[in-house]
Amino acid sequence: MSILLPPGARIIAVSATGPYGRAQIAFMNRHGSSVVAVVAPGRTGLTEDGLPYYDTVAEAMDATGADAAAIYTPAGGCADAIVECADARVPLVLAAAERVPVQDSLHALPYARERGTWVIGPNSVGMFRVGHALLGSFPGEFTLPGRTAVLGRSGTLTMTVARILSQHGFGQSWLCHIGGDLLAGRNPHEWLEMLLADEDTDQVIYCGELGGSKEYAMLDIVAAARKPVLAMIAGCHAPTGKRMGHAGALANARRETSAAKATALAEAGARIATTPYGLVAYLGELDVPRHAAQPARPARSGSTR
Amino acid sequence: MNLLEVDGKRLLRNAGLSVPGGQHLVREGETLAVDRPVVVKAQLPAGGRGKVGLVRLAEAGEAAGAAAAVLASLKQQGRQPLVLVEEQVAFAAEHYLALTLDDVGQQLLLMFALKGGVDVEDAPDAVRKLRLDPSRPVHPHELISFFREAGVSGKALGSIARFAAALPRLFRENDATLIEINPLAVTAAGQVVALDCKMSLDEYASPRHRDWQSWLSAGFAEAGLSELEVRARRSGFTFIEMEGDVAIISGGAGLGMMLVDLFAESGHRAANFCDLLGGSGEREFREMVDLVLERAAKPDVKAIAVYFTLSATSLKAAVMSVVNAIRSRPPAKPLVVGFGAAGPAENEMTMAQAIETFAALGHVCVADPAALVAAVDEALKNRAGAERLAVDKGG
Repeated sequence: MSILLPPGARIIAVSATGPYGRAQIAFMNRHGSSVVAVVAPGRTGLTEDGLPYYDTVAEAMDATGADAAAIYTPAGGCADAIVECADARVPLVLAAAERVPVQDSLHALPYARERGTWVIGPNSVGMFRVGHALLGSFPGEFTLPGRTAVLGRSGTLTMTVARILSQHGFGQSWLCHIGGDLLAGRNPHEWLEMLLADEDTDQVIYCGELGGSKEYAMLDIVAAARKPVLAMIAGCHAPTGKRMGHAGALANARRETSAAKATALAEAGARIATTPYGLVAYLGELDVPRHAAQPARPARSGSTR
Repeated sequence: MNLLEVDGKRLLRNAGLSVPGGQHLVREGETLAVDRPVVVKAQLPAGGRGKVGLVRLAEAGEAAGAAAAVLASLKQQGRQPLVLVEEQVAFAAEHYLALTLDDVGQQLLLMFALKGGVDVEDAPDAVRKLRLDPSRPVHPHELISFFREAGVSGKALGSIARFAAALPRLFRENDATLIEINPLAVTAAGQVVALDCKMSLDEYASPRHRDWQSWLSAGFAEAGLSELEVRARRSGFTFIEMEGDVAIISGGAGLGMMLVDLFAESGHRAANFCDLLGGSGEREFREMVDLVLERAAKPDVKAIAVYFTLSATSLKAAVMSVVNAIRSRPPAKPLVVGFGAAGPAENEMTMAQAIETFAALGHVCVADPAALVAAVDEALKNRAGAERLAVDKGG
């Protein structure tokens, strides 16, 4: 696992030239990573806030030997940037953009895979090696160090689950957001396999959602896992035939519903919760050690009156 | 975008693939004169038309009457009246053929069933699948064994393989996510004809298909949506209206689904789902809040729940957006607010200050989704109690 995002990861920020990109750079630097270069054609030789600019990812890789790249190129150019990163042999790439055409992903994602590049996204918040390195924009303040990995199809849900775990004293080793599109750089089963093999992780939580068939590819790995796998599939009570925000979140067939996927995962041996609080209860049953100190500001529970 | 049959068949014909001849589009009040037997088909972006009488076979002399009858049924169902009339095709066999995406394998997925013309969802075992590499063209000879093993023989084997081999390019060039030909007819002479065509195009690719908005299908994109859903669509955010008693204002697809599930587990039902696109600004946020508040004004909704998990957004900005929205449109029903915020999000305003801000306006503000659900539950119980009290006093 350490090959993916080493502590203090050195990161190239692609197209991070506007205020949003600069904020993302500051965010990553604050959470253990070190952004070492920005790629923006036409700006080679410039330096801004101490960061060197390069025209291409390949030039930035040659100069810095970075561990990863974060792509902030808008949707229309996102797949091109993924291909550019794969050509430059960047081992780990985050594609943040929403609304990337699926045909573009269909070309760029297998292209990157063939070259050994691990793509997170498109439409992803990124991944956080809690306390050590951030690629993307998970708020570190929602986390506590620990040995539970959280893997999710939704950024806000992954964050929310991490925050609820922290409030109950359960720390995390990794937060990984696969991406909310129909196609993701790597499928949940590939992530799960890697997280189960990680020596800093004792159990893995998977937060899925309705739509697509990616969960069925996880069943063999769940069945063979020697560490507990917990899962929650959002959208149990979603109306049928509606796209729930994400491009991938539309149940086209019975097997794509939350209930069908949860049943299949349960049969393979995963513990299924329907809410984050159910996940907390399972961690308690597993005797996962809790932090004595709660995060700075504990959650209010129940009524405020 | 789900295409109407008429648009899908136009794409097939432009790709050199065979569709029935003699096509006429008929709208309300238009006349129709044909000289041979036809099939009259309602145009709507949904399946199952045949089962509800929206597809009719007619002799030449009865065609105008059949078209008028289908138009009348469509109108009666509140749908746009539009029918496609085309020549009947005599066929020896009907198959199912489709091309879609394999989301795990990241390849194209060709699907075929020997027995077409039916709902293949009901007989999934009959469908054979072949994965195709999207990065290279597909040639008919590569598909021969697939169709032969599926039971195709005679002259149709070559015709079907040629038809299927043309689909991947059509799929890519039109940014399709689904092409479904059901049925694909085979004539006695072994020729294939697409009797129907269901096609879905990727809306994320619309910036490179400026012409899509002028297609007939674009005028049907809002078919089946509620008035509020139509407005959300035009404003560029997601809003799905549901039957429920708690209207929800939230951001993020997964978080929104989780809230829908949480309320369901607590015995309530969400009255809507909503989600903003990343990069949306204050204007889109206000439009979304206003729309949910309109949903909340309907009698079935008893309470409103607001929840956001903030990563980069400042808590103060989020609080002020909600405050401004509810000041300009004060909800007549209990409203509970929640934020997941920590670190820099609290630089300008702490969670304690946010709670005070909402308390001053008479609203509960919480930090946790479970607390949100509990507070909504309590507000509804208090309200029910107060109403009972009022009734008792009145009586």
